[in-house]
Amino acid sequence: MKDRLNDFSKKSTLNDIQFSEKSRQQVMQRISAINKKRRYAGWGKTTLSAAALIILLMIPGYFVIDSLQNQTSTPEENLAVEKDQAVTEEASEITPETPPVEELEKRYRDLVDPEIDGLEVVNYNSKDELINTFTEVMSQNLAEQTADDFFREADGDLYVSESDKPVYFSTENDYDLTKNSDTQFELAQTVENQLSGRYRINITYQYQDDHWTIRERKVNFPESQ
Amino acid sequence: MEELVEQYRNNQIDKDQLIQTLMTQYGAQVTRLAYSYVKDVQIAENIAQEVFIKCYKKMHHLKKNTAVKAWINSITVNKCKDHFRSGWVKNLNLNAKFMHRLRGTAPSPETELSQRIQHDELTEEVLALPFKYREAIICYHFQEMSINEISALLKIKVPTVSSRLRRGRQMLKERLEGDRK
Repeated sequence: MKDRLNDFSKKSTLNDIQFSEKSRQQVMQRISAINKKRRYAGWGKTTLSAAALIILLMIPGYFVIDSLQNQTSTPEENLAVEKDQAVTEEASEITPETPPVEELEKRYRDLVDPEIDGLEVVNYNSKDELINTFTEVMSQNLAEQTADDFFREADGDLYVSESDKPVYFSTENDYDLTKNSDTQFELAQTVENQLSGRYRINITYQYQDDHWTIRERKVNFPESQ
Repeated sequence: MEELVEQYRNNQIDKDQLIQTLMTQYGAQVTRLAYSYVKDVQIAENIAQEVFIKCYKKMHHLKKNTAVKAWINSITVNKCKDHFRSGWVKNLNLNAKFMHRLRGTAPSPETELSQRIQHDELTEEVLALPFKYREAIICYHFQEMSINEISALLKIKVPTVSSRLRRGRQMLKERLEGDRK
C-alpha cells in the first residue's frame, strides 16, 4: 500500500484536472471589474467628502436660523412640531416581517445533526469551529450552549454526545407564534413523539443585523418533573 | 515565486502580472486540491477562481517570508470548507445552473459526460474516504506536504495528522485488498 501511495502524486488521475484557460480569463475579467469599481469608489469618496464638507458648513448656519425661529414661535407651535417629528420617526422605523421559523428550524437541524462517522463528527474538528458556524443561525450564547450540550472534544477530534440529543419543533403540527416586539418573536409548541415523549418547546427569535436568528430555546418535559 | 512577490512589493511588477504568474504556477494544484474536497470539476474550478480573486484582494497582506504555496493552500482549504458550510453557496450554484439552462448555455449531456473523470482505482478509493482522512492523505501523498505543513494548514496537532494518515492508509488497504478477495 505504501508503495502505491508513494507513486500517488505522479500516477493519480487527479493530475488530469487543470485550471482551464476559460477560468483564468474569468478571473482576469473579475479583477478588471474590481479595479473599475475601485476607481468609481474613489470618485464616490471624493464626491462624498465634498458633500460632507458642505453639510458641515451648513450646520452652524442651521442652528443660527433655528434659534432665531424658536425665539419668534409660541410654545404651542413648538409642541406641535415635536409631535410631528415623533410620528415621522415612528414611521421610518424598520419593521421586519415575522421570522421564517420553518427555514430556521431546518437550518438548526442541519447544523446540530452533522455528518458523523461512528460518533466522530466528520466535517468539524473542534467546538470553536462548530460555534463559528452555529452563529450564522443562532445567538452566540445559544451556539456555545448547543456545542457544550450535544458535542464533546477528545484527542483533537470532535464527537457527538452519547447522552444528550437535541429536540426540535415539529413543522408539521400547529404552533403559537407570539410577537414580543418588532424585533422579537416567540414560538411555543407541545410536541409528542415516540423518541422523546411529550415536551413543550419555546423558541425565541431575534431580528438583528438585517436577519432573523434563534436567540434562545427552552424545552420542558412535564412528565419527567 | 517568493522573489516575484518581493518584486511586487518593490513595485517592479504590478498586481495583475503577479496574479497571472500565480495562476500559471498554482492554478492546476489549487483546482486539484479543491476537487479532492468537492469531487466536481466545475465547482473545483469555481473555487479556484475564488481563491485567486481572494489572493488578488489580499496580496498586500502577504507578509515578508511567508511561503506563497502555503498561503494559497490555506485559502483553498478555507474556501472548500466554506463551500460545504454555507447554504447560500449551494443556492448560488443551483441558481447559476438554472440560469444556464434558461439561457440555453448549459453543457449538453454529452459534454457533461465527457467532463466526468474516470479515476484510477486508488484515486477512487482515496476520494471515497471520509473527509478528514481524505484531506490528510491528499495533502501528504498527493500534494507532497510534510506533516508539519499539514498540521499548520488544517490547524490540527501533528500527532492528529499522523493518526489520520495511519487510519486513512489502513482504510485504503482494507478497501483495496478487500475488493480483490
